[in-house]
Amino acid sequence: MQTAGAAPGTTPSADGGAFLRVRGLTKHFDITGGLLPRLLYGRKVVHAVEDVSFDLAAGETLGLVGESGSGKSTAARVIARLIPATAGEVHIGGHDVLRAGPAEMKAIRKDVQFVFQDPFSSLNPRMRIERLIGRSLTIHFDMSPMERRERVVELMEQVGLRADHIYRYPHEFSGGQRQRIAIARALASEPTMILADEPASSLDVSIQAQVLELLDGLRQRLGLTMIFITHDLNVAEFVSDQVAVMYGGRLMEQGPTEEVLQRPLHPYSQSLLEARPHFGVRERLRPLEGEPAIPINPPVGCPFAHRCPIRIQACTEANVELVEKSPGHKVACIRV
Amino acid sequence: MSEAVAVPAPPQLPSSYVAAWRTIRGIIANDRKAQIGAAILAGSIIVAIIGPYIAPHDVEEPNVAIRLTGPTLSNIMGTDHLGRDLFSRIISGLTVSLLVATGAVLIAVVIGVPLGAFAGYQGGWVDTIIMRIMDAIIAMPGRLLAIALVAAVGPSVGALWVAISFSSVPRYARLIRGGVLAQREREYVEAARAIGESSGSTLLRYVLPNAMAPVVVQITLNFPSAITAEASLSFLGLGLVPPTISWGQMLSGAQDYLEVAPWLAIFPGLALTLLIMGFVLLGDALRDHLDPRYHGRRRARKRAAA
Repeated sequence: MQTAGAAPGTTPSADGGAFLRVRGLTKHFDITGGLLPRLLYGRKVVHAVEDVSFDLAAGETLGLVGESGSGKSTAARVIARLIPATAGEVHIGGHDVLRAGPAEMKAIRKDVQFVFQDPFSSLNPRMRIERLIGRSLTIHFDMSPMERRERVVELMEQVGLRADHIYRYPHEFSGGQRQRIAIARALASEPTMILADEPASSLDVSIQAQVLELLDGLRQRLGLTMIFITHDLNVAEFVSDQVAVMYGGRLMEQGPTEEVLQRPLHPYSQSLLEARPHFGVRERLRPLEGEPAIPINPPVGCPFAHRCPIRIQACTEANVELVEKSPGHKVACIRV
Repeated sequence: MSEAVAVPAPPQLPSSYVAAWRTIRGIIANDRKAQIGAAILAGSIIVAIIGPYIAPHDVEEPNVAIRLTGPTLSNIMGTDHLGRDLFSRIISGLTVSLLVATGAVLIAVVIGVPLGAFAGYQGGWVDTIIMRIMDAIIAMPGRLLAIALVAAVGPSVGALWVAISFSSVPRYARLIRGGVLAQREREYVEAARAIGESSGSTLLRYVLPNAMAPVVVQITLNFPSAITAEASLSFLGLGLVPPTISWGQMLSGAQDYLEVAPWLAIFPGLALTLLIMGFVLLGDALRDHLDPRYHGRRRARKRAAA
C-alpha cells in the first residue's frame, strides 16, 4: 500500500513511497483570554491536535473521519500550514512544510491546495469567477491575460461549469456550483495534493454526490494525493483508500478503508459504524452514549475512555500509542 | 491549452470600481432621499466649477451707491456694506467651502484608512499602539484643536485641511479596522493564503474591498462636519481671511448689520444649510443600503409600517 508509484510531478521522498509524512503533529490553542483570567483560573489550552502521525503514499486518498470537534479540520489546516503548528513535522513530496522559507513555501502552495467546507464563505464576493480562478494562475505561472482566460475556461469546463459564466460573481451561483468554482481554483495551480475539508457536507444531499463524484474523478485522472475530511463514513468509504479515525485530537485507528470499515478494532470506530444509517436496513441504530470530549487541558490517557464500554483503570493512567495489529492497520487501544 | 478554446467575449466592465459606481447609481435611482441629496450636490458642484462665469457681478467691486440694499432684480440677494453683490459672493464662497471640505476629507481618508487597515490586519502590539494613538486624538476636543492649530501656523487653505482632517482620522481608522477584523477571519481570506497570495495582496484584494462600504458612508457624512468646521473657524476669524471669500466670514460680517440688512445673514446661512442637507440626505441613503449594521433597523421599520 505504501509503495505505489509516484504520481506525475511528484518527487519521491527518501521514505519509501510515503508522499506525505506527518510525525507527532500537535496543535494547541491558548484560550485563557488575558492575564487576569490566567491568574485566577490558570491557563486553558485546547489540545485540538495531539501527537498525530501517519504516512500517505502518492496518489492515495486518506479519509480523515471524526465527529465535530475531533480536530480533523485543524489537523488539515496545520498540514497545509494555513495555521502554525505547535509541534511536529510535515513532509510533502520532499518539502519540509513547517520549516519552509518564503520561496519554498510558494512552491508548496502551488503543490498543495485546499478545498474548504463552506463555498458560501470561501469565495471572495467581490471577485468575478475569471479572477477568482485566475489569481492562482497569475501567482504561479507566467501567462498573458489571453492565455489566462483560456485556462480559466478550461478549468471551468473541467469541473462542469459553463464557460459563459466566467464574468459572473459568486452570489450568482448555487452552493454546488460554488463548490465547483472552489475546486477549479484549487486545480488551477496544477497541484499534486489536495486537502478537502468536508467539501460536500454543507450542500444539499442531491448535490453532494455530484461534488464527490467530481472530486473522485479528478483525483483519478490527475493522479492527485488527497486528504478527505468527513464525518460521514459512507463518504469515506466511497472516496478513500486509507481511513484514519480521529477523536479528541488523537488518531484512534488507521488502516486500509475496507479493513477498518469491515473489521474495526477500536471501540470508538465500532460505535461509529454501529451508528451509521444504512439505506433499506431496518435494524435499530445504536447511538453512542455521552458527549464528545472537549479537549481543554485534557488529562493523560485515552480521550475516549469516559464513553468507552470496555474501559479499564489502565486506560486513564497513560497515553495510548498507535500499535500495528495487522499490516497497515494500526489502533490506539490497550484492550485490543 | 492544446487546441483553441471558445473563450467568451472579453469583459465588458471588469473593474470593481465600475461595479461600485453602479451600486451607488442603483441606490440613487431607487431612493427619494438620495435623489434630492444627489441633485443638490450635483447642482452645487456645477455651480462651484462654472461659478466665475455665471456670477452676475465682480465679487470685489464696491458700489457705495447701492450699499446694504435688499434683494433687487440686478442684485437678487442684495448687497453688503460696501455694495458688493451678495449672490456673486455666495457662489465664490461655495467653491471655497467645497475645496476646503474635499481636501480635509481626502486627507483624513488617505491617512486613516491605511492606518486602521494595517492595525487590524497586523494585530498585536502594532494594533495596540496605533489604536491607542487614535484614542488619544479622539479624546481631544477636535474643534478646539483646530483653532489652536490654525492660530499657531496662521490661516491658509492648507492649515485648514490639516486642522479639520486631524480629528476625523481616528474615525476612519476605527471603522476600517473593525471591518478588517471581521473580514480577516472569513474563509476566503484563508483561501487566499492557500492559493499563495502574499499578505499584502490578501489585504488589498480580499480584505479591503469587503470592508470599504462603511467608509463610503462615513465619507459622505464627514463632509457636513468639515464644511461646518471651516465655516465656524472662518466665523471666528481663524479660518480664511479676505480676499478669500468664505460663508463663515460673511456670517461673521453680517452680525453688525443684522437689524438693517438681515439678508446678509439669511442667504449665506441658507446656502450652508442647503449644501449640508445635500450631503446628509445622500449619506443617509447610502448608509441605509451599504452599511449592513443598519439593514436590520430598516427592515424593522418596514415591518412596523406594514
